[in-house]
Amino acid sequence: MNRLSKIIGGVFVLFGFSWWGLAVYPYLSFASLKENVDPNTKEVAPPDLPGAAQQGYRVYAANGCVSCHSQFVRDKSEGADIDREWGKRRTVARDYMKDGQVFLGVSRFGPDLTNIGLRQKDAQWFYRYLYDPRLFNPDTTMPAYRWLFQDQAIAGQPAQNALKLEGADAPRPGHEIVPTAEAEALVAYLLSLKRDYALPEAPAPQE
Amino acid sequence: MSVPNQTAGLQLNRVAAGNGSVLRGPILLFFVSGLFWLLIAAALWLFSAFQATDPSSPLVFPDVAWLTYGRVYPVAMDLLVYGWASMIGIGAAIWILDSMAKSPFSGGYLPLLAGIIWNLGLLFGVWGVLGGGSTGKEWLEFPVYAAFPIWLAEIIMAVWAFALFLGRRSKGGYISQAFLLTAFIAFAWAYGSANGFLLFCKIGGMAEPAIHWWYFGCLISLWLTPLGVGIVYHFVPLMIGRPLYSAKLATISFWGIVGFGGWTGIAQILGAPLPAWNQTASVVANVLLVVPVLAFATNLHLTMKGSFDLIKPNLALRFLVTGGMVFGLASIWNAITTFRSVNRILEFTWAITARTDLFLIGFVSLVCFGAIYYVLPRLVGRSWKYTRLIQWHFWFSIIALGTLVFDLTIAGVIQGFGLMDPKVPFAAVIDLTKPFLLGYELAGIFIGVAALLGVGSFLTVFVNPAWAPDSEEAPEPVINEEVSLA
Repeated sequence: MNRLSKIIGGVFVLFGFSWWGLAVYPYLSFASLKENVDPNTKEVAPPDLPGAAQQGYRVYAANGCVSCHSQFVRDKSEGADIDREWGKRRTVARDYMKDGQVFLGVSRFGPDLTNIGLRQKDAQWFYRYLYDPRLFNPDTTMPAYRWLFQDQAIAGQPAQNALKLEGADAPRPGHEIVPTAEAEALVAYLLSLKRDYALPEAPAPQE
Repeated sequence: MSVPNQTAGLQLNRVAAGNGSVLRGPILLFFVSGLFWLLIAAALWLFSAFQATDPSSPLVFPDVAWLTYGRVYPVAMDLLVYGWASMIGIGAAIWILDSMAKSPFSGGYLPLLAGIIWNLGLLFGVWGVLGGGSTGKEWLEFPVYAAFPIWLAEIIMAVWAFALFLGRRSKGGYISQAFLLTAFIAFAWAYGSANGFLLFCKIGGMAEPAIHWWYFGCLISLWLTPLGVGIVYHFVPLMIGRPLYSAKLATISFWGIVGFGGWTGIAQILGAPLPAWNQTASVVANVLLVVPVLAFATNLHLTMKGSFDLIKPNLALRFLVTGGMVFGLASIWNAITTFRSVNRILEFTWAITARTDLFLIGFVSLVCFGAIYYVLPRLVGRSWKYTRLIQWHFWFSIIALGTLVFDLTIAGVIQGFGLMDPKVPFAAVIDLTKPFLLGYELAGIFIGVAALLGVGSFLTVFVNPAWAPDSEEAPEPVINEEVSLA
């Protein structure tokens, strides 16, 4: 079939066109993004991630958090994301330039986490939420991640990051529940999720 | 430029061509594997449906890492796509390409090798994702050590398919061959380049989701779609003994799907900080994709016209035609929900999940079963006996599909309008969807039952009476003996 070459050629051209447009073009155009340095304060935006958070995104990826949680705030014209106070402004490409991995997500069965580190600043809150989400919200469908924690005998002083748990969740006497290294990394990552710096391309909408 | 249409030359004999016996093993391997992964996927899906809707259910294990929703659900979806749909599609493609080529070359060891490697990849993938090695990218969760074998197996299949095609004895080609060969090229390119970019190059920032969702569009529109469409275009004319109605419509469907398919994925993340023209192009592609898909569905309809009586007795045909028609509907629904005005409400909701499920269960899975029911008796030389079981299977599949898509779409519409109103607290929005998510659990049960009925039917063929290839009677799963097949 001399048409075979036509078909193969056509497929390569048409398919390659989409590959160039949606994969290569964004790759090239985002590769040239530079951080924003405020001329007056010399503040760098977006800021560098703290070391602990750089491991945490792997825990976020491995456990499919993205199955229910998104991480992008759409413009006011696109939805109620800003009115829901998930962010003061929409997120732009530069917000993600330093992320270990970008978790946009396509499901909001759980709330958006773009700025969860602004809404909750206490690691203890995150530990307790991950350990038993129903402590905070009896109706939530979020699974409990008890395996991110370990039950250990208290040796001398109680551990600093031991979970403050009461009632049915309280540990046995003489024991305490402490986060594992994975939980610590995950919570450090979640605490780092805050886009509270200004970028000229994304001014906060006026009220 | 036209896709060759030599339906008249399409062999209507019911026996596999030349090398059928050599390729029997590989095709069976792909079919058995696909059904095996379907069972695992259905079980995990059911499991995850209960976990998603009822955190106090006894199916929730907060102390067991590998049984949490965030690992189980992605594995179920990956197995549905890479295990079930892909493997059955490849099995059917081997049959089709071989019976069309009449080539002295069979290379039976290549598909066999590919089947084994593909299965190993899936095994590593399940192990990896459940064990905590997921990449965290939807539909690309498999870690490198699982993705690479799958990609390699696909390359082997592509090489085999082209070698067979180039060495064929038959003149010309047929539209189903064009679709299947395209699928093999596109998947090798898309899966290889997505994994290459995302896992090896470690590119960061927004290029990551751009490539990731470009890949998703290719997976749906340039891998699963051409496999399914190729299967329908091939088997339906064979079964009703008439050529395709229109070569023009077939050509339109081919070039339309190839031209627009690659652009469709970005519409999954509209509103994300990607170049505006990327997003607009993707919306336009999703809308334009309706044209080739309707060309396909119309062609199917016109080909079937006058033969629609046959879908009552001929169950394989019933699966294929229903699947093809659902594809037409799914593509219209896909276009409607992609429009910015609709999408801003439904984005992030269960309705979008339902949209993908409609495609995966309503089109791809039905077509896969249609192919199995047609090919299997010819492969093992036995005819169907327990056709009632297949009839049950069909109706359970339809009920499962209806329950799943209906419930999730309603839940998604409520969720979408709820999220648009900032005065309704987030938890209240989720509460509103809960009654419908009970329907999701029910749908999970139906899907499980349908999968079991399908596997059960598959197994019964092996205990059925032998069928002689030269006998007049076709080995179709026919429920009414009086209707004879052309």
